[in-house]
Amino acid sequence: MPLPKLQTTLLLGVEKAPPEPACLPAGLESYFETLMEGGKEQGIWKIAAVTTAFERSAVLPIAWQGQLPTPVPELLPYCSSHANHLLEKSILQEFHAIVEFWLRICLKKGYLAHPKVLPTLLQWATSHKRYWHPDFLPVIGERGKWLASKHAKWKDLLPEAPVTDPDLATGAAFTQYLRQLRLSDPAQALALAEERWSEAPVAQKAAMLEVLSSGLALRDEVLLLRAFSDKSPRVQTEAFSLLQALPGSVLAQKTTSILQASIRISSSKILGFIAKNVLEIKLTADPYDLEFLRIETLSPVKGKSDEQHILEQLMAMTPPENWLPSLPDQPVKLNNLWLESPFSDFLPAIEKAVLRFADAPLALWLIIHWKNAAPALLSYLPEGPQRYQLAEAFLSQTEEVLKALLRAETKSYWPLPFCQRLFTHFQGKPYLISLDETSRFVWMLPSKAIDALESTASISQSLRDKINLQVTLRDQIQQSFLP
Amino acid sequence: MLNLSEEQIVALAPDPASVKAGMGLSAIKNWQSLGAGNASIWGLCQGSGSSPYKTQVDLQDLASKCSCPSRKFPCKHGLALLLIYSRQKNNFPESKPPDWVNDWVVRRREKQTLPGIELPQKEETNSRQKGVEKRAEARQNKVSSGLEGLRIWFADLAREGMLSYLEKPPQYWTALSQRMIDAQCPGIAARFQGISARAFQLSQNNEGWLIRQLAQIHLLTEAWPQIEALPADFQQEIRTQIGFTVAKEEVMSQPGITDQWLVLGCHTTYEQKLTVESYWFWGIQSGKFGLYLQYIAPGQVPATRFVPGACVSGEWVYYPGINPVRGLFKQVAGTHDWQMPALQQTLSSASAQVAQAFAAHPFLERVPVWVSGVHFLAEEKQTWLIGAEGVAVPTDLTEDQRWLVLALTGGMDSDAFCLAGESGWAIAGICLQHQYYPILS
Repeated sequence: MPLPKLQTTLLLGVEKAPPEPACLPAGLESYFETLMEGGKEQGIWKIAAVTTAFERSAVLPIAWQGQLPTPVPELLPYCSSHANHLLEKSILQEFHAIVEFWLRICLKKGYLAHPKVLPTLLQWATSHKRYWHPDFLPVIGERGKWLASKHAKWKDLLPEAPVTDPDLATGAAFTQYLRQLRLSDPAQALALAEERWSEAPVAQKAAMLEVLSSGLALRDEVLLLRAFSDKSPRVQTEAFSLLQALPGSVLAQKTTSILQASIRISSSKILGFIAKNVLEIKLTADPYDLEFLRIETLSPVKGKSDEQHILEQLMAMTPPENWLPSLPDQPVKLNNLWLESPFSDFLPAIEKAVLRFADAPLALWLIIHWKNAAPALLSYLPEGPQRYQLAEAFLSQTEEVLKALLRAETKSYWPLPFCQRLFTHFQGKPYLISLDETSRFVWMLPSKAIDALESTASISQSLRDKINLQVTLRDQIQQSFLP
Repeated sequence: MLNLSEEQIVALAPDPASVKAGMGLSAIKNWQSLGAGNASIWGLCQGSGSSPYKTQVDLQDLASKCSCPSRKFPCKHGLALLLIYSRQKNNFPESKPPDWVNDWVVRRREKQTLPGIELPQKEETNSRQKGVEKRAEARQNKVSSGLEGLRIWFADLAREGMLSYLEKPPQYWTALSQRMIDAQCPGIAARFQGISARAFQLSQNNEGWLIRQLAQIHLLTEAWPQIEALPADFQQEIRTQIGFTVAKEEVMSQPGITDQWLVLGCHTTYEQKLTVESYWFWGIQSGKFGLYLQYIAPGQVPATRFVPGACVSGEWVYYPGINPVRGLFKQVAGTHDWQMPALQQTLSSASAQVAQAFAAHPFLERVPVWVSGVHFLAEEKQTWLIGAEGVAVPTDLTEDQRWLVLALTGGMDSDAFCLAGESGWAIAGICLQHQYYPILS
């Protein structure tokens, strides 16, 4: 910054504020006359030039006293530079599922991301929270945590400080405290939730119910019933699901007893000799119970009776194992009763319950025996050849099959022949791969599937390249973490 | 043998889209043939057209050429070729380059006047020489007359005062710049253009900045009439600042410095329609710094590309001037891996060196300097460079650079290559455990 006197003279002009030696830096005043020899108009600019040069060359460092950050030693080794490069590449290409894959492998193998990729990784994690899990935190190491703590946005990735006084904790911190307490002392956690219930906002109530879902027991029923009568539909629905999943709860008992009383197998004799099993369906329920269960009693669909509508609702909300005999273990003759009219009308409701309560044996039974079974049931089949054999029957519903298989727990790649047949159904459905949730499917493709993909003319070259690149990256990532 | 990492190749790309596309093509199956020879690599890549694209890279300076219609350099094919080469050199059988590669490589090297290749000397006839002298004299006169006009403008400004000039629109300063173009003083024209770009901010406490800019322009108008009385290096500097160029051939004819030159970093700026790449170098043996400026017009092929963090062995020659930094390679022998030597220089000592350089050169913008054992400390928006002896200087790191530096150092001390400026020090790169990390971008 030029000296104040010089600045004033230049701003006001040499007529109003004539130049004087004080326009020069201290010590150079004696040069004033020399500089002014050509007249004051040129002289003031010469002074400005001298002052500028003087200031530029006189900037020295300032004295500093303070505490420097202490480097925190890392306990884990850094991954290879190639692995780091692959991480940067995946982030740059916006292959978010592959980044997630990289983080999983890095975590599993016990390595750290190199410091030079930390800003990119933390920025990615902040912008793509859907793919970032708090479990990945060890991958950024102590350096990453230190760095994140200094950044206004990245610090949200760090866990909140542990709550020491639950009375003062609110929001996510309280939920976290309650979760830990539920694991160590479920009854104490319930007591704390009951204490906070009446004051808690809707989101907090929903979060408390989610915490209570682990280690659910009959002692929780009172609070769950209180939640079931809450004003918020969100809290009601959450509480209802928990009450249904709680064996022996009043609510579960009511739905179970209604269904057991309404659907019965009886034997009838023809001409007094041949016994025939008959499935009787007749709603047997107290109207007060239906009201308590918040069941719609009028059918909104023309052609569907009120009775059928009520039973469908009850079936969809009740774990099938509570009221339905174990169909996979029944003789074939009896099985047919459930597959034929009139009960076959209720199979969609049963399917809803299977998906809701993850009833794996019944899911398998429905897929095998019911022609209208949904591909979503595939999610609950155990991993093995049977899962893929059954999936092939649904391949025309490609997107649903993909979603179900991606939801299913999978430890190894999909079989190559299955992939080959799957690709033939991609024609005209390029959106399949662009969907974020299905992009994880590149985790599941065996490397050889890429050759099959290359010869599949039913999908575009750019799509093939995209899949190819992701599978190649996946394989390179796996290689890069090998010792 | 070129030994670049994928990361370094990615750094050559003109934009992220090219990286993405290049990576997509970096599988062998996309290439019909690959080859290497005479310090170059080439390949045929099947594109959307009927005939494959011919792609070639000169490994001496990583320049590339491709028959594809892309106007990016390197194009995605060039990047892909380099990526494959970095991963699988075995797929590039050594052979005699085909004509389309050989012609290009030979032509390039002739242009670069590599050792053993003599440039044909232009025969200057007497009349031609006279024409040159006449044109030079005409330019001298134009410059003198233009700068005299500017001195009158400065005198008016001093009388009237600058207050009203703080409110002048950009067009006012652009018109002055245009006058200097007409007077064949492009260096001064660029300075006025710089003021024009900040015209709207002048009244917001930026009068000090404007005074400094104008004082330097005035210094040039003062120096020009007495240029003959100045030492030779000052004469050259004044001429350069006014906008006289020095022919590349003239620079090349000077003796150079043969060394291993570390590519410290590349800073890209945009001037009017030109892209300006500023490459900073440091000679490992000589300890000297170098700045190579590459001006790229839209659609023009960059003459060369250097990879930050790599080491170029070659002969460097400086443009004339005061304590020159700007220069160019007279000869490039190749790109190599290297290891950072141990450096010793405190922040105080480096600061004194910077002050000296600014004192000796009134027009200097950045002073390259290295410091050892420094810490980076982030405070609010400012990042400080802290010396072990308890002194600090402000840096002018961008937000991205600041987080990268903090991530790399994490509280540890490091050695740093800095470009000291008036308002803060830029960091070209840092050295940690003998590893160099480029920061400048």
